[in-house]
Amino acid sequence: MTGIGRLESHGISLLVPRGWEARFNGPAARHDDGGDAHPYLHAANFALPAHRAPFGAGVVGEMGPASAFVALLEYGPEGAATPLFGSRGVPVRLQGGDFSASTLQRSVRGQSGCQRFFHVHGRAFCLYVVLGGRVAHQRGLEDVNALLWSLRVHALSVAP
Amino acid sequence: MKVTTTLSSAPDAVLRRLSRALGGATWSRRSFLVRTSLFGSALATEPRAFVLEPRSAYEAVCGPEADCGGGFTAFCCTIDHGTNLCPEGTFVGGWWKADRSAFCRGAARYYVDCNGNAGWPWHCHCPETAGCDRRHVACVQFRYGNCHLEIPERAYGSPVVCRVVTCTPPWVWDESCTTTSFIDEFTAAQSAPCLPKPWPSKVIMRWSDLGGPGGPLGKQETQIERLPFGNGTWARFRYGAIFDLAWGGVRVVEEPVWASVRGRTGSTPTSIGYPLEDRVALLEGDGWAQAFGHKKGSGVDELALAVGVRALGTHLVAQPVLAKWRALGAQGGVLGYPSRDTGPTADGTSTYGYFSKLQHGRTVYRGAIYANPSVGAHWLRGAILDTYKALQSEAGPLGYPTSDELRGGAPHATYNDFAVLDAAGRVASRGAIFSTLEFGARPVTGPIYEKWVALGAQQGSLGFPRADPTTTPDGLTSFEAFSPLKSATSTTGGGIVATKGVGAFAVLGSLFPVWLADLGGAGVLGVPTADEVDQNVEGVALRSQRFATGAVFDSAVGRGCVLYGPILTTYGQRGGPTGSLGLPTSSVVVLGNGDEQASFQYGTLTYVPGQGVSG
Repeated sequence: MTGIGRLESHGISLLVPRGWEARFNGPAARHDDGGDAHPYLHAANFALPAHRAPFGAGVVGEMGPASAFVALLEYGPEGAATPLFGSRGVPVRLQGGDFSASTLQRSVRGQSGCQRFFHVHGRAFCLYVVLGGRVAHQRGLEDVNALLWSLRVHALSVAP
Repeated sequence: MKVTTTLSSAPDAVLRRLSRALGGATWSRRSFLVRTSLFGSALATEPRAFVLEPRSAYEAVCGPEADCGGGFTAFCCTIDHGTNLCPEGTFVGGWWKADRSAFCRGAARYYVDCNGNAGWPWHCHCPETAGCDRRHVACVQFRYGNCHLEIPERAYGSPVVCRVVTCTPPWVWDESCTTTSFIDEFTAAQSAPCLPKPWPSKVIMRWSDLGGPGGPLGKQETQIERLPFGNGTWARFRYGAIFDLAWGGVRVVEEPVWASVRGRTGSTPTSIGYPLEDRVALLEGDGWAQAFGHKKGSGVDELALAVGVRALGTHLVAQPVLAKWRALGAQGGVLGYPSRDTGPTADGTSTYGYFSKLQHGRTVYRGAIYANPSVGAHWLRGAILDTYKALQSEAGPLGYPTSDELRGGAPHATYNDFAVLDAAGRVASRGAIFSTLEFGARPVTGPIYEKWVALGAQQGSLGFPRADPTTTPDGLTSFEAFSPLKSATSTTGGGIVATKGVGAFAVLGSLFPVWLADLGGAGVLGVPTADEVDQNVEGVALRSQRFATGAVFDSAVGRGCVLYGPILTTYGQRGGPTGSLGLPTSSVVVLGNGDEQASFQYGTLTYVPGQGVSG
């Protein structure tokens, strides 16, 4: 989705800032090796490449100094009660000081990242935000916070 | 980090049964993707640049973005002497995978981040390596978040030090990892000289999964070699071996099992076959086990089981002892863990194995199984086994056990039956060892055993053996004492005396102490030549027994009267107990002048040497 608008899938809803693109990847699936894939959300203030990995491989190489990229990844619900996901609620109001050039899945010159684990309604998530450069710390971070402010995670009904 | 192994591949039903029979812990089953064609898979995992575009040799080995400034983290084997494991000072922080990887023979390849422990002095640097994996070390702070969820988030305290790759799913490899799965094909071609090349042998692939040279198997010692008879391939490593069996999947034999089986499996002539499974953990006693055998039809023929526990080490239990041990409940059963390898008996006809029942790591008692083709496999333990061993086991007078331990007809009384076998496997003589709290474990063998059984064994008037048999210095006579466990009377208990050329006779109750007091027949009585005779003489109960040179008469008018020599002869000539003299009231006594005299109900007989008997 591009342009301001509401996006909802997998029990997650958000308002997508103007000029942003957001996409859900999913649904949850069991892999042949027994692994469990869970949905994840990608949002960026530039066109998302078609071929992307969950933590932004394929995306971060396309970012410029003003680019911002948000990944929201869900984990198995067994993680929700663990110390790693102990924080409650979607992180909001990220500040420039929350970002570091070393908090990146892959270090790219000029980029900085922020990673937060949390749980909402028994669901475990990781928020991973990458800013492309100094410019993104201004306008891009405002949009990121707006997106996070609008983010709603709903409890999933448990199948009988 | 915990490295686990799995049951996998061909005769799964058989192996699951084996594992269940052992009380094996539940193991996740590995699920390989179906192998696609070499060409197709190589293209899928080695991006087209690998095949179609000219690349440097370095890039061909290490893949793209291999420089320190490339933004990716080095592989652990690059910085840790070839070891494909998370190094000390790190924990498994998370993982992702690339599907259809040539590095994993077309299956998924898993990338595991090793994050630095808090407080460990990791610092961001480029690795010192002559190889092509020059990716940075400990430079990014990132958690994949699907392992060690008990370790809380620390935004800037846990750098990704290095990466491990494996073809085994991480949640199998490390119990702290979850199945939450992330796919990232962008790292699919990244590798290092210390990692297996594309399309490795299954042996090398498994070795690398276990950590390579720094893992439990250590350095590779042989090239991949073919097993005889088309059974597959294998390679030896410093501390073990890996088999790629044509009929049974990839199996790892590592220490401490390897120490007990090396030289007995592999390309050498083998008595135990090949590993049928990887080592499994046992539920009782923190032990381990690994089965060995051959393919047989659509299943496998289990020949031996290597079983170990810390207190006893690893020992082989081989057929047919193995089948008996399993039937007894294996390590959780009456015999516990093996304490030595199953081996042949001295006569070469049979096999035996020794075991120890453990409690809190200490031996409560020892046990054994002896398996003979004629009499089958039977177990014994504790004091009975100790006695059996003291009597030279199967080479001694007892021969082979012909029964398991049985209840002996009284509380805490147990016994095993035994038999000496001839060359044709027929029973030549029988015996038993009885164990009671009161008398300990006592053997009963040969003619004494047969006489005892004829008299009702432990349920008869003799009761239980109370002492080991004694043999006279001339070797002609053996005797053994018996006693009921409770409420003994003057007519119960006693002994059995067996003399070559004469036979075995019971000397019951109060008569046996009389015979013993006569120095076991070396005095005036000699050995018994008949069983006791009981009769009633004019209302008086009389017990009497003949011996080679005397007799004993026991009645209310005379207890344990010993007669011998001319006086006994004369007494007999005068009708004995029913004759004119009646019953003896004393033993023969030697008077001060050398004469001998005995008293009877109705008279006295006196023997004067040189003059005869009068009275």
